[in-house]
Amino acid sequence: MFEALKRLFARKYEKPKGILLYASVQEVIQTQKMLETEGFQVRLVAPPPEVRLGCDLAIEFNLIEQEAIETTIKNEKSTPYRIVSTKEMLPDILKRSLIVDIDGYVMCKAGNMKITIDKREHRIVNISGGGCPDIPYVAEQLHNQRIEEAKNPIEIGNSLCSYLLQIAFDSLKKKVISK
Amino acid sequence: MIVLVGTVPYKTGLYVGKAAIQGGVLQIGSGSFSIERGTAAMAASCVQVCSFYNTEMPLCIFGGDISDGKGTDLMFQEVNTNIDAYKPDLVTLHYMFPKVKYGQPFINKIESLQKKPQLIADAGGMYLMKTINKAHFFDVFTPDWGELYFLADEFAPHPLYVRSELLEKNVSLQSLVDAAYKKNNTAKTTIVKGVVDHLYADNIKIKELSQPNIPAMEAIGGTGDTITGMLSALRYMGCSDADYKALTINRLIGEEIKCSPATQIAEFITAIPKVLAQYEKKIS
Repeated sequence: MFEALKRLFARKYEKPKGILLYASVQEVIQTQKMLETEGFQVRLVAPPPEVRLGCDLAIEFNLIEQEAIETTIKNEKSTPYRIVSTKEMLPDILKRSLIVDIDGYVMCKAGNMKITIDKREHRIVNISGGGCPDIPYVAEQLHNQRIEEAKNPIEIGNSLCSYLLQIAFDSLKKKVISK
Repeated sequence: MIVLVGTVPYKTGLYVGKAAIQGGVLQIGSGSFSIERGTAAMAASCVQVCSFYNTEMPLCIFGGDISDGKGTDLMFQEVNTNIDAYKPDLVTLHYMFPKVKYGQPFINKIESLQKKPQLIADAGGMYLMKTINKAHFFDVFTPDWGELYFLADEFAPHPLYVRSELLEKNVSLQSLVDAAYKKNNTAKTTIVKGVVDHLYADNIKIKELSQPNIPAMEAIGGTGDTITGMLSALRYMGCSDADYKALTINRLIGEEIKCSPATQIAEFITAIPKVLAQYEKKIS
């Protein structure tokens, strides 16, 4: 443990930032939104390998704000399991999605995740891709729901694949609503 | 014996037993699992092929897990302790929470076996093995394009984190495959699933498959799971062209059932015996 912390604060991490680590991606998303609402400059990042457990997502913040952030998350009962300092790692794929028309249906892809709706009723007919264990469950819950009324994938699932699915879901929903 | 390892979206629990399909659902011991998606769809496809060729049914080690990771814990505790008891000839890892702490003990357990089984990984199992730098220990990976970017990016811990320089350039398939092989971030055989399926062995392209071309298949959740399940069975049987055959059968099923983007994967799985029979008749 001491060695891992020593590596984290070693010189290679220039301009270190703080990161908040939670047990689930769902908690990360909720806390990130809450901190943004409170006016903190936070963003989603990949945890460094030293503290990674698996499919993790973390919240990065300016170390100068650590005390204020700790007070805020304590008041909101969103206590992380750990706070560490790390270098910046932005998930670039967060900005990307691709929409494809297929014979009366429209599919949106983000990373390894795909969601497809029918053009007439906007019902979710299929969800494809992903490797995390919640994806089959999320797909089952969303199947046949109209995208305008369906729950957000990240409210049902709890993994990075669910988060990628949320990006595709949001793009598709935006396209449907804008028509 | 074939051992299929993965999570299913059911309450926390460990389900171990020989697989069978009864009444359109997958039976593992006393547990029943919908074959509509995920690990159960993969296992059901494997069962269909084993049944068609009258081969021993696969043994499944499933963890009930809806992403709290507890089912993944139970599953790996069983695999990393007891897999030798099942005398595995082939092990397939599928959906799971890719927890780093279980990766190396899994490798150690496999290395402790008298004979190394064939190893196949898809989905979370593939993410885990790449993340712990043990991809090259595996015989087969089955990425789609999104996952190939992930294998090509040595720093990405998940497809979410593929770096922009890979995504922004007009990067060729060959350069992505090269990158994955050079960094030992893929298995000996890499099957890239897509509009055209590409088969690589030790970074040499051995085959590609584009017909019948059915764009709807990309949208259907589980069309990759059926490939993994079928090739697990075919490889276990010693089929010399197992990977190519699994890819071919998958496309022929799409054609046979006239699939649309709304088709559910259970329809594919149900059609496996019929399409296999047509295929065998045609080549005989």
